[in-house]
Amino acid sequence: MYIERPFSMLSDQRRMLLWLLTSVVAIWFGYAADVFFGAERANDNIRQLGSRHDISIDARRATPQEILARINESIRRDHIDDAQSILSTATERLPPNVRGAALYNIANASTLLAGEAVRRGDLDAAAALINLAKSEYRLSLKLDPENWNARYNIDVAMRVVRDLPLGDNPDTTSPNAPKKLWTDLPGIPKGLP
Amino acid sequence: MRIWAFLAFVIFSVHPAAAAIDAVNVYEPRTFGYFIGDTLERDVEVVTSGSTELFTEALPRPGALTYWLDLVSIEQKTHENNGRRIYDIKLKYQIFYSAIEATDVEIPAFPLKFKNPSSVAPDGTAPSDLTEASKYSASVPALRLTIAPLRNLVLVDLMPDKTKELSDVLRPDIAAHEIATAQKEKTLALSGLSLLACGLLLLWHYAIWPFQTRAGRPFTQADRQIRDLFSYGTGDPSYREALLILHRAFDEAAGHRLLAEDASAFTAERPRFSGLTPRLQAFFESSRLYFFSDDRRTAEERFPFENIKKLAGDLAREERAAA
Repeated sequence: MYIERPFSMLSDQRRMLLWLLTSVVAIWFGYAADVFFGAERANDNIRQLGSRHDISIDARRATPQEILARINESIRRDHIDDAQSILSTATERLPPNVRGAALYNIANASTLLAGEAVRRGDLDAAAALINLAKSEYRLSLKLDPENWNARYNIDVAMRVVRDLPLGDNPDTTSPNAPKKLWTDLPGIPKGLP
Repeated sequence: MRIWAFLAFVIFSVHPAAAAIDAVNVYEPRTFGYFIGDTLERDVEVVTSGSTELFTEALPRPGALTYWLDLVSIEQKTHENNGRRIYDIKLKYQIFYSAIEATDVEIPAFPLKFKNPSSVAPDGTAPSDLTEASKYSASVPALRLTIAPLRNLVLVDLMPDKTKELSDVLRPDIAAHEIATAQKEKTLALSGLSLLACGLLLLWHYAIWPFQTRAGRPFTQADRQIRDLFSYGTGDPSYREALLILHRAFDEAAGHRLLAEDASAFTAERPRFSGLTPRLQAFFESSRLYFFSDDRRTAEERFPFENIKKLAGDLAREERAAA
């Protein structure tokens, strides 16, 4: 009869177990290292973009905050088209609040441009820009309804250029029908002399 | 009108199980205290029976309903209960009405279309003729809401004599914030330490560099094993096992299979074991007797278990002393 030693009997299983444990821990370590150094790289990019360096990032792989920083820098340089193309490239990878924030920032830029256009007297351009800004604010608010700054700014944007609906106003039939509260935009010749 | 209501009652009482739109219940949220950007949910419950079915494809689709109202989402669930079909419809709206003062607005009503509708409406009014009856559909009523202004519009100053820039009025942009790395750093450190521990365990298991001395102690291990074996008794199986263990230890120490003839060469090579030479030879002889001559009793008498144990202990001691 062969008396088995628990110690030697377990030796083979112990070897397997050790290798299994080591490979699991190695995968974990690799993953943790990737996450950590990826975050460090992203933070480096965010810092550089925040300090007004025009560095380029890969919109398909960058982290959401990196993309937001890149969009903000493009807006600051008045490259709204670039900002929009970065956003549309990365759009499905961004969480709703970051996407909402990017849209909000782009809409703010559009609103400011519309204000410039009003000052120049170019009302058609102003109306187009305001419509763009309003649809961006709306989408931003749909993604993040808790962004009260966006609510405030869409309220401001709606009054930069007079924009009343033509025909689909349900208030026309309601008891307190339109009161013509909105004054016409100043500086536009209206009616016949 | 009253006569139609009566007719409806008659139809209901005559055909209680007939196909019908039994109920359209709308559970409304509050109708006041809304700002621009607020969302609200309306739950609509439609109950039908018989072959009447709600034509769900005709429900409104998400998107802009009017210039100030978006339908954010519409969810629809159906379940059957007692032969009745119950449709739960969740409508989520978002308001984009920029009010100057508290203003009433109205979410427009929308019709509900049915397949095989009955001739009776849920509110008891019956259609005026048959062609209209076949087309009859209930509807979700309009909802009046009071919208409050978000800010004091006296501040709005895009007038020619304005003193403020638009950029001063607008709320600031959202800045990108850096990713928090403290937790990630901790995880990395923890996983690194775990990997190190695993590496050390592996080195120990294979007795590589820091644990090298561990492998060079076959007699220590043999001694330990024989001591363990002693507690099982000193009978024949234990004796055989002890012999084998010590043989294996000799093989490992010598680096090749060690037989009785080689015992003297083994001690000559390792002077620290030379004091044990006579007992080594006795061990090998009795082992030969035991395994090859089938004379187990003699072998056990000449070199009993206790001697093996003592020899292993002495070998282990010499081994440790040398290391």
